[in-house]
Amino acid sequence: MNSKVCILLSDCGACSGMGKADSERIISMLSQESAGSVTMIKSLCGEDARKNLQDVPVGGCDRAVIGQWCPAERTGKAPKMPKSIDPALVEIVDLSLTSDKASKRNIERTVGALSQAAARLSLAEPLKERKIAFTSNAVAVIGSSGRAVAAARLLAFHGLTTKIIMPQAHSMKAKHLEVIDESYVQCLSGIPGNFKICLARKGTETETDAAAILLVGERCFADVNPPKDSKIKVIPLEQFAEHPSGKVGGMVFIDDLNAFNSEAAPVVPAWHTLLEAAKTAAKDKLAENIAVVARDVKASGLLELVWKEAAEAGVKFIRYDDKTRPKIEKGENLVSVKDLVLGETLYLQADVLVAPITTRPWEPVFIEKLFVPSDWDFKARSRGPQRGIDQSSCDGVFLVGYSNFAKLTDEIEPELSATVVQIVAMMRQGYHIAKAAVAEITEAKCSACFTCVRTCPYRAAEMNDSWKAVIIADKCQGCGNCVAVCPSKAIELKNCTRPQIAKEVAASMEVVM
Amino acid sequence: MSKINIIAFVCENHALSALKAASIAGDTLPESVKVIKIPCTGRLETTQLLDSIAAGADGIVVIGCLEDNCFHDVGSMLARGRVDRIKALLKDIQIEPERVEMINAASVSGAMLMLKIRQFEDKVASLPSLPFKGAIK
Repeated sequence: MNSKVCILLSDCGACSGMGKADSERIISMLSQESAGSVTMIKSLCGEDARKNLQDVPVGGCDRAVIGQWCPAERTGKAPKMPKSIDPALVEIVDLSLTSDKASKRNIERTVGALSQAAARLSLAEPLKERKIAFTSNAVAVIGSSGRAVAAARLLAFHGLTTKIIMPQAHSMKAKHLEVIDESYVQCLSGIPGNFKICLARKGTETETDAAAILLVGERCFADVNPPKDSKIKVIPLEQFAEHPSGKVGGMVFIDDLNAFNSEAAPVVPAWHTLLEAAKTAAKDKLAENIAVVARDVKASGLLELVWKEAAEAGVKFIRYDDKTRPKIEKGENLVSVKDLVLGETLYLQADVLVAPITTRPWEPVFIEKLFVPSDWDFKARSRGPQRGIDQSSCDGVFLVGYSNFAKLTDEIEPELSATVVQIVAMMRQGYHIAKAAVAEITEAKCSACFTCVRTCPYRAAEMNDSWKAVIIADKCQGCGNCVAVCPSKAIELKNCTRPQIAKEVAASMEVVM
Repeated sequence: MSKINIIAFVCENHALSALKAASIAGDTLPESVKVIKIPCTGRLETTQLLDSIAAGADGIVVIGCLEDNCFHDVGSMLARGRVDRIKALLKDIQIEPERVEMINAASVSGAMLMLKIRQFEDKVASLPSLPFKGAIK
């Protein structure tokens, strides 16, 4: 590649604290480094100066490094680019990291930063971010609780075409609101703005599209009726796992509160958390008698160790089946279960009843397909605060009631309104930005080991029909995690390639030596 | 006059904002530290870290997001594993493993980050210089 870099350095004494002699030294040092031709320009702080930059003579260069003393946050606006240079090939170097006072050290570091940027830029490709317009204008709300209905109504009130997908029959009518009842989510694919959701509806399979998806915490703890006529204290398992407390006579862990209700549908219980919590309770002696009542004790794999430790610490495991469900004895703190092994009814002292907020069967579909972060028990949880607590790692998929663990009803409300605002903002924007600096696979080198497919945090790497990995550019966020894990070095990240990093490292060495 | 070179591979998300926050507060980087911006610390390969030492770096510091709050989910966790591996490798070829370090920083913890970088610089400066420095081209 025949590339020529020019370095534009703003001559702003106020911001840099450098005199004329210092600037001349910088120019002479940069020309020694042979990084590129140097042009001094006026300060970038004023509006006129930003305009003047357009007419700076660049002398046949096709890419430029602009050394900016004041960071863009302080000046307010980014400088305008010279006319003859592709804006994608201009790199603005923030020299404010070095600009406290003019000293030899600062000059050397300024030269270092500029020559590093020139080295990196000399191998860069002109890339542009792409805007992908939304093909669908609908928002799909998935969930059947009262909160999901409230979220759907709120979105429809904002004028967005809203679809609510729920398993039970529901007769609800509102403007802009479509109710897809009696349906379960089967599979999911697509990119933000164009999601395809496959549904099983009344025995047939249908498909619907959505630009954004809102997943509402399905079962809030407060929605479950606590046992009546008893003084039993019910604690959500998630709360108990974070802050174990007790000193009571008897403690019972149950896999689902609906076990007491003979008509309840099966759910996916939180096994890992439950076993760990029971183990902790037994080891810390939080109760004299601890029992786990469950339909199926799943203790395979690593969970077996936890189960074993819990059993050794004195936890009793009792199984029930759909015909003989456990009961709460009226007026007493007792839970009666018919033990399937002994064949007789056991009465367990239950001053405290710990029950998980269980997940719905379709939630694992979301977790798998959209890479929604999950915990051990495949319960969805939202990301850390850097993306907002209500957004998953997949753009366009929003979660309510899942941050850290499924939430109580009244805790959800502020989260819900904040999420609706985010969705409205996203839908008004109307496009999804596909990053330009994405990873690319050389097919000939790919050995189909699936390492990139497993590693990608955004599920952008997939296998194609001829058993070679491909990276979907629309999904890729350019983090480069796949580049480093690829054992056959078949992947390269645009504008952060191996030669580029090596050249930059070499350039940073030269300045001091 | 012996000068040391430290290469800082800085992720452009939380770690870079921490550096910027520190610089706005008037706390600049030590002169021996050269910042190389990468999209995520998970981008770094073990070979790149070794190559930088071969190219003449006395110390390498990888600065990434906090592990449970990484911008790209897994990046800083992968990087930590690689840094640990490099430490073991360096020990095998009798180079001090303290020359490579991983620092996790939240975007608000600029002062703490600078403190850790300075501690690292002091540690590297106290080590004897590398025997092959400048010999490998």
